Amino acid sequence: MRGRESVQAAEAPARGSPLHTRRDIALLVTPAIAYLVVFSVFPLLYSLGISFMRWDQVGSRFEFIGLLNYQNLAADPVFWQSTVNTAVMTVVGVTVQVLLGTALALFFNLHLRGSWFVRGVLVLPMLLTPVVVGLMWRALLNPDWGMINWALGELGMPTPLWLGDPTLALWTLIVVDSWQWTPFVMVVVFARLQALPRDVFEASQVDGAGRLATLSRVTLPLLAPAILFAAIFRAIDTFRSFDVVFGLTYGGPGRFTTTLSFYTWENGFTFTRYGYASAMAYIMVIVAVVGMTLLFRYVNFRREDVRT
Amino acid sequence: MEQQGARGGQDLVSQAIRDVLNGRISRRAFVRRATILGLSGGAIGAVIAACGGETPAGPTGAPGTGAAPTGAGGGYDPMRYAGERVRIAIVDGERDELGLRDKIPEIKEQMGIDVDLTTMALGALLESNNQNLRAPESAFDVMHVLGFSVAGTVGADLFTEITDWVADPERTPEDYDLEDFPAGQLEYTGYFDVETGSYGGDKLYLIPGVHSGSCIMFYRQDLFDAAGLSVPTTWEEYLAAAEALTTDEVAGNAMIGANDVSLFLVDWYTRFITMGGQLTSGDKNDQTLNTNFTSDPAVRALQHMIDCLPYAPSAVTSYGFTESLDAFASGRVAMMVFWSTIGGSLYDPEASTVSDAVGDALVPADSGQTPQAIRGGWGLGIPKNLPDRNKDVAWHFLTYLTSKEFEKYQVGTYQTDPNRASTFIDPELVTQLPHLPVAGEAAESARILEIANIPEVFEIVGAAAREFNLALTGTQDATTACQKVQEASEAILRTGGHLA
Repeated sequence: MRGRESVQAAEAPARGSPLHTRRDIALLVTPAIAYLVVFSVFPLLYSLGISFMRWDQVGSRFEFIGLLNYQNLAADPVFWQSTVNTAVMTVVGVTVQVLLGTALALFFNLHLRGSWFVRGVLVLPMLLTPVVVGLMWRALLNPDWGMINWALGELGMPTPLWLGDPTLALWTLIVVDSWQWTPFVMVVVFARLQALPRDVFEASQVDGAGRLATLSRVTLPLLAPAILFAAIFRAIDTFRSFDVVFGLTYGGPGRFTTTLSFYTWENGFTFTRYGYASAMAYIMVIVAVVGMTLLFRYVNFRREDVRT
Repeated sequence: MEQQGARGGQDLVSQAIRDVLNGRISRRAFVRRATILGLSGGAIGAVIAACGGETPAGPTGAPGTGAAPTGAGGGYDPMRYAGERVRIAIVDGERDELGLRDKIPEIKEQMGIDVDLTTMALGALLESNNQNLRAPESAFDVMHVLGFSVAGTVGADLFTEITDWVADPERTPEDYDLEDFPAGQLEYTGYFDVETGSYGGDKLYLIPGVHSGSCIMFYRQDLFDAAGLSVPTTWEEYLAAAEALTTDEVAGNAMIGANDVSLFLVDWYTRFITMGGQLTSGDKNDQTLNTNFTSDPAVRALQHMIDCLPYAPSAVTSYGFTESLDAFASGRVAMMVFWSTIGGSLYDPEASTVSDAVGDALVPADSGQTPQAIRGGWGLGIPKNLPDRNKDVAWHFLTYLTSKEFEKYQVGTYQTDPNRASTFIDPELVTQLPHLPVAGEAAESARILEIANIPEVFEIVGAAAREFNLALTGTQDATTACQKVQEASEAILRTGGHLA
């Protein structure tokens, strides 16, 4: 009897502990789990189910068709063109943003007079909603009365059709997207720069390292985690780009700026082909998950490599 | 020879005036004949006014006040549903909601009804309509239905049939005059055969509103006069005039050349049908429906647009609605084919630098073809999934919103195209908007897009707009573009079950 009491006493939470029983723990965790289930797990599973259906709301058809949506996707040239557009926009756009953002962060780390003000102005594009950015640049790039071509004309330079030329439109989209999100990379890298230990730089100075050597062998390696973090964030965002495409080019000319997200939206909400759109969305989820998994494995591998 | 021709023309005009004054021809026939003979809109309106009889303002309200119909003598009571509320969703961005917004206090005063007005962009409205029509109960009592979406919504038997209501003297004012709506417009955004999925029939589901219209040609009268050119009536003349009128400051013509559905609906389709084109063959009900994008008129229509490019603004392949309208209104374009409902602003001195030099005419056509363009417009209807009381109130409200009086106010104040034939020839409105008689004639002869009765219409139109845009940018030729559109449309038709 005395042994059982001592065991029970040992199992009972300490007096004054807020978590008295497993029931209390469950009660506290349940809302978060419920939120995840309702707003994340259920939509994912539901859309997966729809991706195996032919569901055309306007035609009121709802029937199981197995993998037919996925098969049709594989044979859909617009899907593949959207994939290529998305890949180009992600790789080129993120590269530009990372290089430019890092360079800006290093520049502002010089703490020149008035740099705080310039830094604040540069961050402003980030605060705008992407569709507004798209519409704003659509006006700026208007071939007849937009400011850009007006200025170029005044300087005697060519005035291209930034949004109407199939060879230019995607690059214009990348420039506009980079204009908005390079400040994000700059902010992340700049914040990391402020947190770097000073003693490392002092040591490198003592060792006689010049500016370039310090930059390449000390600063950038220390910034690598922040740069990678910013790059991953931007890659995920750019991969999902819809708003700026909708506002700037509406996927045109032709399909030259149609991204996967835009094509998914078009199928779902303009053509009301929900099954097909769900299949496309799931392909995007798979690509994103695989991509991120590979990337994080590479990052962890590099960390292990550095430690050894 | 020229003097004899001019005298002959004047004689015909005089004869037409005498015929309408003597009642030998209808006012509608007079408008048609006088327009062809070149009589100005103001003169046409003056003659119509001189005919007397029923005035465009209607017998029950002062002109332009939007006064509530009284329906004297039929048992109709404007205050029958006083204290009730009606919820209406209208498209945003086409000025359709502006007149109603102004009249909400008046509706409350004269009918006792509160109006909850919601406006949405086109895409959002289409989605909202689709969802609300299939919900257990609609969140809106009156819906604004785009003509292209009629087949998918009205055709799915989701709207209340109102055939008997229009004829019911207790529900509808005596002077409502359903026949004042052109038959073609009622066929498009009014009657529908749910059984066969086709426009027309004898069951009424929608009332045309808030605007309708087709496409007409707007041109710079001053430039044509200076160059000694006649207004083109064929596409060859159109191209020749565009070339002749092009200078360093002014482009001979403009078009919607961007990746925009109106590239297809306005510029390509107008050329296509007036070159003898028929967009479809076969029947969706036996899975034989197919498109004719590789037909001779289809390729010629696109090629004509390409041929017009050298005489268009250099950025025309980026032109959507706004850019085309801006270019003309700022005096940089000599002529263009455009939606008549949007062209009204060209006559507004505050919105157009050429307001006193704008002329209008029916679109050109090949020899032997009818000058006609696409039939546009919207309809207003009552969802089926509503309590009966809501439906009754909704119809009561609709008799106001689609009345002659309200329409005159809407057109006069916001320059949208009318739906009623009488409004097109209202003398006051014609003085203000000289293009109305021609717009009315265009609305009478307009053609319903042949693929409008299938749910995939937006997909096919979008595919065509993209490929045609690429042809205009020089990325591909007209034949290749039309071939690609044909392949894409066949794939869409097969997926939709309309083509085996």
